[in-house]
Amino acid sequence: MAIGEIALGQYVPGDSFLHRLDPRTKIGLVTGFIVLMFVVETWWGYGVGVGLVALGLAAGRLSPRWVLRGLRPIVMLIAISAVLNAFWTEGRTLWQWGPLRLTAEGVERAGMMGLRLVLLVAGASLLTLTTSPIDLTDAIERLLTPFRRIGVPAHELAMMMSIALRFVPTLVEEAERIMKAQMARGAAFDRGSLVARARALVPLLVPLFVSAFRRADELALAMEARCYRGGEGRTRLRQLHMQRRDWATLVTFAVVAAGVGAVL
Amino acid sequence: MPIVVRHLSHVYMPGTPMAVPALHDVSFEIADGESVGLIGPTGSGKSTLVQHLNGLIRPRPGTVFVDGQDVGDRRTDLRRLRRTVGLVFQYPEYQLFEETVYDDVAFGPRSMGLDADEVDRRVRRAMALMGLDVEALAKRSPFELSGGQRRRVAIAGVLALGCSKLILDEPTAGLDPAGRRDLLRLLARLNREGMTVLLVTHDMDDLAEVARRVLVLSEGRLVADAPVRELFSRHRALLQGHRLDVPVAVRILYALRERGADVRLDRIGIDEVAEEILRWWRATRGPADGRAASGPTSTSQERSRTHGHRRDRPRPVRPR
Repeated sequence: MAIGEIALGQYVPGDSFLHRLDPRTKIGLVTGFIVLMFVVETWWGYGVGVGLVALGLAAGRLSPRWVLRGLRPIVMLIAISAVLNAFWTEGRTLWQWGPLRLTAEGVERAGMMGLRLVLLVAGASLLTLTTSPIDLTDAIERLLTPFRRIGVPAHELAMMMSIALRFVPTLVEEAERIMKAQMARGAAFDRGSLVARARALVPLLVPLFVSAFRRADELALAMEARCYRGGEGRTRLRQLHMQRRDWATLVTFAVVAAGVGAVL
Repeated sequence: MPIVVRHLSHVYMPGTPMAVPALHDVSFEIADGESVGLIGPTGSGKSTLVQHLNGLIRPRPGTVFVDGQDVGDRRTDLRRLRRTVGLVFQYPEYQLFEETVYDDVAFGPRSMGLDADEVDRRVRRAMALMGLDVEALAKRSPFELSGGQRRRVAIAGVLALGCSKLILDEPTAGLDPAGRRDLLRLLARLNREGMTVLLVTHDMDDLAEVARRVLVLSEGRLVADAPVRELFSRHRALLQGHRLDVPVAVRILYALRERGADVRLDRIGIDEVAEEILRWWRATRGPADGRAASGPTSTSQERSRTHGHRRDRPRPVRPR
């Protein structure tokens, strides 16, 4: 069902090692991985990247299919960057047609760039595939907390994110209901020119906005009624705890990254 | 022409581990001009069922015929069908979107491509049918009306399609007692003027006021199809078995019967029940002064077909 898919985003529920890691650990790992992938310039460095992603897939008990699905939107980007790199890099000419010059260095660079993009997206997917949106916002809030001193509203940002996530399925359901109600009185959402279709959205969007504002009002009232007044001194239902496995994983990753950096 | 439903089933998300059966082998007919109630506890499939009747959900498996047209046939013009079968969703006032009441009621007729005169005629008629004052309300924003008025505007927007059958999903939910009474009276009047009405509800008092016949749905199955009098007087145990009960007024008759009073149970509505209690009182205590109690005529010549087998014994009134 469409609603279910949207509600869960990319998250694949599970109980693997990767799923049980603290979300902060996973954010740290992904950040480190991204930095590493920008630093390495050699094929064997990328080999380590491929190895890490494979290890992540195994630790998350994920099928590569999930990661490939995440790559679909960036296929065009990879193709364009590959073509640009292959033809616009100076070097030994392999093939020439008019002003277009394919160079050996260009082909190598195109391959590396493509692989780098794939690895970056794959690494990020490992995070979103194994971490529920709620855990992710909790982790972001905790990681941003030190920056409160310089005026970053960490708690408020996280609260906004989790409320937004919470209301996505509600609004999708509401949109379906309103769409059906308008169809029942003669609206057609699937015919006519582009302009006609855009106009047909008005009977859907106006009630949807009205109800979104109504819900926002009700939620604000409900929160005030329960004495919600921001993050100051607030306890939480779900505490994040760094376990031994979190530290072990972070240390192991740091050692590997440092090793790659040293050899470079 | 009637609505005919044959062996209708429906499963949400078929073929997945999350598949939810919503309807199972439902068959019934609704003749023109009938006033039928569809009751059932929450989650019994009522809303799913009514969405089949105007083609918002394609019947599969099973068939739905409306005025001889097969709703499941891909060639059927669903927009035309939806003009015949008006469907009013729960809390229909949330679907209002135009700047004025007039424009909102006119949305349906305009999207049918009618000319301005015909649109105007239909808007006025629909608003009158819903007891709305066209002159006073036409230029106002629907968002500044009261809840009951907004709901009637929304129903008028469906009536303006020119439908001959009207399906309402929980039309009285959230209305105050006066709004509820007004709406039920308007629906009863619409039915008297020839409109086929299907009222989806779990409010037995609403049912007693509008419907002549009742379909009872439970866990996706049609468990009873009976005239309302017969259902209330003879199948209370069946209703209770499905987390439903007879209206409060009828429960009083059952309570009297339980305490040995010889009252008839096939009375619906406050007035009939009051008359019945008076009749019993006079019969046992001798004639009191005042009017003679004239029992209302029974209209149980309607088609009756029930699936309840248990004989209903009167029971004590249970506090809710």
